[in-house]
Formats: sequence, C-alpha cells, structure tokens
Amino acid sequence: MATQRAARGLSRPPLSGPWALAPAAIILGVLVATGLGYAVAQSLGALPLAGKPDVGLGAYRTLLADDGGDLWASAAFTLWVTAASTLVAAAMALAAIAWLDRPRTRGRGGATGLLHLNLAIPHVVWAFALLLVLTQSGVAARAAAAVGLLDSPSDFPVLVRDGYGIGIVLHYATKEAPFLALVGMAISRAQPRELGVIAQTLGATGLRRLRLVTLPVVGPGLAVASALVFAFVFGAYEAPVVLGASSPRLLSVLSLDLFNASDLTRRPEAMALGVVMAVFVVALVGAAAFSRRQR
Amino acid sequence: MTAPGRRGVSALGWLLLGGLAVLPLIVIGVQALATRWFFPDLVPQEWTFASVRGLASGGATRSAVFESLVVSLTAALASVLLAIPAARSLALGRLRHARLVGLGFLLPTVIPPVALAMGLNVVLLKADLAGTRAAVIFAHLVATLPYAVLVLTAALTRYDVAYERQAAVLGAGAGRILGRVFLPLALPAIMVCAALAFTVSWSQYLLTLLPGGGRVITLPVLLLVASDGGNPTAAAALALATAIPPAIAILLVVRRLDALGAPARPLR
Repeated sequence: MATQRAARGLSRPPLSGPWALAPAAIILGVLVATGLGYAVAQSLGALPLAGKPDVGLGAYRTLLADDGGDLWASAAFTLWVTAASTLVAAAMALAAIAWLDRPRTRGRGGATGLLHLNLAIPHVVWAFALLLVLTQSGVAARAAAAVGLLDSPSDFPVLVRDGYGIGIVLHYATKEAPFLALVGMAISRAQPRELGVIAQTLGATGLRRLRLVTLPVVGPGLAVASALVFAFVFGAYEAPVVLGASSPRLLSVLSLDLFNASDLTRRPEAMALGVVMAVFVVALVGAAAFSRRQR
Repeated sequence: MTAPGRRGVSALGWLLLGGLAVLPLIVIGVQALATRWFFPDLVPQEWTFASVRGLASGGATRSAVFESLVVSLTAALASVLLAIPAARSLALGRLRHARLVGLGFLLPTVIPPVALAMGLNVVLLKADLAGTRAAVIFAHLVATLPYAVLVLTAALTRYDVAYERQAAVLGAGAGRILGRVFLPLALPAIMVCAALAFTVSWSQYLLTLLPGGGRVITLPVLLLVASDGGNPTAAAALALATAIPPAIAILLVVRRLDALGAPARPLR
C-alpha cells in the first residue's frame, strides 16, 4: 500500500491530472456556451419571447440594413474609441516602463503599488471621478481658472459627453495603461539584470535605451496584452454610459439599447449585434495570438 | 541627460502616476463632503457629513453593500476552489498543450460581456432563475474564474513539487498532501488569487444587471444610476463606498502581488 502510494507520488502529484481541469472548464464552458448559444438562437429567431419561432437571418438583415442610421456610425465610433484607447494606454505604459526600469529610479515598489491600486478601482467609480474632473465646470477647469487660463466654464474644452468620445478614450487609456505597465514590468524584471547594466555601460540613455533595450524585451508580451485591452474596450459598457454622448453610441450601448427597447421585436437585432461583435473580436484576438505564434 | 534633468523626469513620473492613481479618488472624497462646490471654487464653500451619514442610514445603499459583499465574496471563494485543481493541472500535471489550454481559459474574457449577459438573461428567465443572487454569482464566474486560473497557474509554476513527493514517499495520501503540504505552501498565492477574483467580481456591471434582472442591486449598479442624477454629493459618497473594499483587498496582498507580478505573469 505504502509502496504503491510512493510509486504514485513519484509519477504525478495529486489533483493534477487532466480531469482536474474539468470543474473550471465545464462551468466556464456551460456559461459561455449557453450565454452565446441563446444569443445566437434568439438572433436567428429560434426562441422568440412571444409567438412562433421563425428561423432565419432576418434580424441580421434588418440590423445591417441599418434603417435607424446608427449601426455604421456606431461601428466606426467603436473602432476609433477602442483603437485610440489601446494605443494611448500602450504609449503611456511604455513611458512608465522606461521610467521605472531605469537603474536610478527609486521607489519602484511604491509605484507598482499605485498601479495595482488603480487596477482595483471599479470602472464605474473611475468614470464618475473623471466626470467630476473633466466637465466644463469640473476640477480641471477650476484649476485652469485658478491660474488664470480661463474665465468661464465655456472656455474649457468639451472633454466628456462629446461627439468624439474623448472622455471615453481618456477613461480607458488611464484605466488600462497601469495594467499594460504591470505586464511590461513583469516581463522586463524576468530578464537578466545584466541587460540593463550592459546598456548603461555602453552609454545608452533615454530614448535609445527605450528603443534598443526596453522595446525589444517587452514589446511582444505588451502586444498580446494590448490585444486583450482592445477586446475589453471593444465590449465595454460602463464608461460610455457615464462619459459618452447619446450619439454616437458605442456598439455595446447600441446593442443593450436595442435589447431594452420597448419594442420587443428588436431583441433579435440586439442579439445579432452581440453575436457579430463577439465573432469579430474573437477572430481579431485569435489572429493576433496566431500571428505571434508563427513568428 | 544632466542630473537635474533626470530629477525632472522622476518628479514628472511621480506626478503623473500620483495624478492617475490618487487624484480622482481625492476628488471623489472632497465631493462627497461638499454641499456647495461650484465653478470656480477649487475648495468647497461648505462641508457636510450628511452624505456619509446618509450612506450608513440609507436602506438602498446598505442593502447594496450587503449584496456586493455576499456576491463578490462567494464568487471569489468559488473561483479559488475551482481554480486550485485547474491550476495544479496546468502547472504541475505536465499536460500536453498546457499553454494552449491556458490560453483557452482567456476566451471568456475576450467575448463582449454584452453578448454573454443578454444570452444569459434569456436562459435564466426561461429557467426561472433570473433575479436570483445565485444567477449573478454564476455569471460573475465568467469574469473571475479565467483570471483566477491564470494567476494561480502562473504562481504555481514556481512551486516546488518535490515537497509533495517527499510527503508521498513518507506515505501521505492525496488528502494529507493537499492539506498539509500544498495548502500552507501555496496559501499566499491563493490569497492573491482570491483578492483579485474579489475585485474583478466587485466591479462587474452588465454581468450583474442582466442576470440579476434588475433585482440584484450591487454598488456599481446603484452608482451608475446615481452618477447621472442631480446629487453629486450623494453619488460621490456612493463612489467612495464602491472604491474602498476592492482597494483594501488589493492593499492586503499588494506585497505578494508585486512579487508574483500578477496580473501580468499569465500573459507572458
């Protein structure tokens, strides 16, 4: 008995076989499959809330015909907001890494602590805080007035509930940059310390260091993390509700508005839009991950 | 670069970082205590504690705090319990394609929550489960569990399985190995995992609203409604109440987090 156990102990630790994946995998699988499955079924008219099922692509046709004139504007707006947020977040993260990675920078632990703290703050709270700071009579405008840059709130640029989604971009850029910075820091910390020392010995400073040492090391991992940020912002909902204008709407907001419309016949369209969004973003992230594996 | 130049970069870095992490919270804190705070006053003219007292006495807020705590603590606990076997399998089980399977766990986090939440809303309505706390907790697992699995897997790649072999050689069964060897050694990583799962669950909006059918009202749900209303003081107090618990959860484990490099490590 004891020898049997000993033999097993030498082969595989307990609770580590492939079946140990089952509980987590099954629960996630069921949640995703039923959630998406019902969305697909309703978008195809198979499970109407009332009346007989009428299976077909009607909802997709209505959606793409875009009678309200909202869809393509929303799609373009969503792509702009998502791409801009991701790029600004990545640039901010790179700057933070370049700064924190310098041999001379002190208090790195405190800095990463602050980054973690930012990650912990719920999006709704962050959006509300930005609203207080960035409205035309907000804290930023008051600070500008205090130093004599402007006289009345209307002199302050419209940064929230604006037509370009600037408030939304600022929200996701500032909320996702810490995440990307932490990813980059973890990667760069896993590199041998000598790399930085050699660069320093050879006289690399500032931008050269960023371009020749930091970027090649953290770039690939940062790209994958940026793809995840892109996917997250693409489907995000809270910040656009608090900081966005009523038009143009992000696709996620448009989808939920259709879902909540008093006209229940629009539900299949809402589901169709959700399904199209899911397919698009999964394909995009999949392609990004795949192209990285190829290299 | 000259020495003053370098110091300038450092000062700028700290200023931006502090501004990003702390300033919005200070603004919320001030707003929560301000009754009359209009342009161009940098500091409120009148202060009040009514909003904070209102939080403690207000029925809606109190039940939202309770709801948030119950949902997020349960979701965190469930995530950890489900993540432990999965992470052991991915990190210690010498699976083929372990990396690919690990990436598969990221899939639920990529799918727009709108799509999932609308679908789940329909399923739960048909199953007569919409609007229950259990439904919301299950829905939160879509967001928390992938994260818990990846963070714990990353932590366990540094776990030395030789201790477990030692125990096995000495005759310990699976239960004793897990309880007496694994649990004490992995406890710090498990706590980090739980704290992260808690914060992720705590901030969920759509995956609360739709599966909850508008009947499970957590703090973010309440705050999103209040942020639009005419009472910024009350909304700010609510925002503080929403921000503090996850901040505490992260501060409790921040040292470990830093050593682990979480949430970054799974993405390497």
